[in-house]
Amino acid sequence: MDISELTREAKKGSAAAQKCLFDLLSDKMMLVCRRYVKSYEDSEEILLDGFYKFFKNLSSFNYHGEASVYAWLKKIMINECLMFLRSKHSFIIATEQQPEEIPLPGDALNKLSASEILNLIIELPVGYRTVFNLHVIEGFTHKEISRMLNIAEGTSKSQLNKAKLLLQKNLIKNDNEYARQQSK
Amino acid sequence: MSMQDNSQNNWKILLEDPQCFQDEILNDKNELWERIHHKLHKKPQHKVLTWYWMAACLLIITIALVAVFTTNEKKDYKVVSSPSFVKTLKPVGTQNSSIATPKKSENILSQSTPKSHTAGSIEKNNLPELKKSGESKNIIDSIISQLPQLAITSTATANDSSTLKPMAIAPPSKKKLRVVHLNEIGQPVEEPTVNNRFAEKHGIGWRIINAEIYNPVYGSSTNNGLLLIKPRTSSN
Repeated sequence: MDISELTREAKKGSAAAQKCLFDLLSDKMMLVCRRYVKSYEDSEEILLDGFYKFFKNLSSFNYHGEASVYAWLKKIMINECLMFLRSKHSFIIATEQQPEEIPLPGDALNKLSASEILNLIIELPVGYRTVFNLHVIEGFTHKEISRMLNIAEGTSKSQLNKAKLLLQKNLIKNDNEYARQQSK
Repeated sequence: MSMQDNSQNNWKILLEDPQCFQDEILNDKNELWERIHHKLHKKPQHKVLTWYWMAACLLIITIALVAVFTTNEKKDYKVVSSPSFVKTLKPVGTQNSSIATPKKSENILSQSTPKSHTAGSIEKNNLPELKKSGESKNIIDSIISQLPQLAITSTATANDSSTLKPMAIAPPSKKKLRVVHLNEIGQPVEEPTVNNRFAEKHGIGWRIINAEIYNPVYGSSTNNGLLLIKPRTSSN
């Protein structure tokens, strides 16, 4: 059974189809949650809540291909993560002067493995990490991010630049450690 | 440019690929699914019903409290300064000791009764002296004859001298006789309790278990500033 059939059956309330959808999509969604939330246990809880909402509101979902299911579920997961972060942390950050845009160290990141990149992102402070994820990975604009996090647009930009700076620092640190290990 | 973008986006693609993250893959999907399934098919809790019951309980408690405090009806407390009583005379043969001191009682009457008596009230000079217990019948007859307006209730006939039965004589309403309380004849005065003190302070009549407490009547001659505590069984 492909995703379209599974979605149709799950819409009708078939528990088997719902379980198949969960098995197919849970790993990808778990990665999304892990990018936003540092704790593995919290990520799991968010994943459960996200799938619960997904199945509960599946009847109102209009299927437009496999990508639409994935996109909708991802949106649910991101919203759940943001809700969780809002409940735990405050995104009210003072608006700072808009700094010059710092380029993303893409080449340096490409040299790293997937888990190393994920660790670098997870180690960022909450505000930096959230804005970085939303802007760089999900592709939201600063205006959308400012609305989602209820912060100023300038704040979103400054948070992103700080996140990039910190990433660069951490990459250099990693490179140095790597170089030291190589030299030994 | 597009080549550079593609190379820059490689790491993003890696981040979306679950196969690159062996550590992050969910270990026990079945258990997680069970939790989701349980959550999906859980019966909705009747929160509204719970609130309904709580509100109902609160309402009942409120009504009960209001009923308790509002239906605390005011008692007709007897005012000590103006008592209404029924004097009961018992057979003389059995009451020798009680009527043995007529002069004392006469004195008490003279002290307590105000001087402005109405017509038909007992003149203290006209009261016969009790010297012998056998003369009690004649004394009662003379009192009755001198008080025409008194309500007399008697079970015994005047002629039946051999069997004198208890007789209740209601005194005239205007006549004020002093009531002799237990306290005045040497009974120990009860220590005022907290409630009594409260009643004394605020001038409110209270009833405590088996006793009635009376607030002092200011301005009366018998007011000594003390609360009067009487047991319910008391005839006064």
